[in-house]
Amino acid sequence: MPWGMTIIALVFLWCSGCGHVGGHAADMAQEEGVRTKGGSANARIWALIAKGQFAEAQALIAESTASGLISKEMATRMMHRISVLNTKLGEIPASLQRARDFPSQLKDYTLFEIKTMLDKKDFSLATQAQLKMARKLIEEQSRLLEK
Amino acid sequence: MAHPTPAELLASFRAARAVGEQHRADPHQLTLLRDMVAICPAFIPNLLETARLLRLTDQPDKDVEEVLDEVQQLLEHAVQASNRSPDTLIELAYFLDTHRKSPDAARKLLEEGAAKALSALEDAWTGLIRLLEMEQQLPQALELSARAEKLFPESERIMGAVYDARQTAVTAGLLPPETLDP
Repeated sequence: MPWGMTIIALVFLWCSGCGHVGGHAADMAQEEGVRTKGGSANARIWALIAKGQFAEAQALIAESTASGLISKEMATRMMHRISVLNTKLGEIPASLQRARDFPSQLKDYTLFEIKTMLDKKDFSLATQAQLKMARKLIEEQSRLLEK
Repeated sequence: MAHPTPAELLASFRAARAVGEQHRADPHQLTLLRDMVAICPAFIPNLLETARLLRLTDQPDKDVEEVLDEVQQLLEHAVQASNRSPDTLIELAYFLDTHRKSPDAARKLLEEGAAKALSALEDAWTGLIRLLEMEQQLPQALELSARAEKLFPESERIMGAVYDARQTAVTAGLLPPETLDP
């Protein structure tokens, strides 16, 4: 977001320096075009990540970063989300795994796999409440580590 | 013993955090932070940090339920001591949802936290748009105005500042006069 602001501000500053309004409008249109393409690459990558298509997402992240459609910072955030979705429940601190209702049968499953079980209402391995708990525990650990 | 000054509290807090940067989730860091809670139970950054680290540090000799009780108490104190500031409400909400199976309570706290954070954002953006306008940083004022108008179309303060900035930009020749036509 701050990058977006900076880019727009720079475009504005450049235009106010050149002192004519026609060039300004053309530049804004060009800028808008770049942002639209960047925006759609952004949305496509996030959608691939949400679907668990991590290899495709990683390839598109590399491609979009190289062509300037997404920033390096955004690429880092996307890669981080992939690593969170690949985190297994058994990777949260051992002390939290000793909680009395901890669903230890899900220890070897990743957040993405647990989310998929919830989405597909597959309760063969764990109850809905256990799956929800596992999902929240992994998400919360990732959030706390980021602070 | 005299109560430490805010600067002293902050220095101790930063020193304790620095221990964690070298050794993530270090039990020694927890000891330092807990000592600070004892010295000043109203120093909110430390309450939040201690509550966070208690959940990241493995303490094999501790009963997890006791640890979670301690975390909840720290977060509740942070909410009280801050007079329900958004960041403390949000931390308590995440805790209750994750570890106490209380999504309803968490939702209320998140809504309260979000409303307060939004109100702070409205206040900050109003001030920022006016400041940028008066400092003649008009492109930045206009950019922020566009974002602020989308999020706060009903806000008298935001809309007043936005249209003042646009009027100034028209006068400066940065925007065509018809921008202000209804």
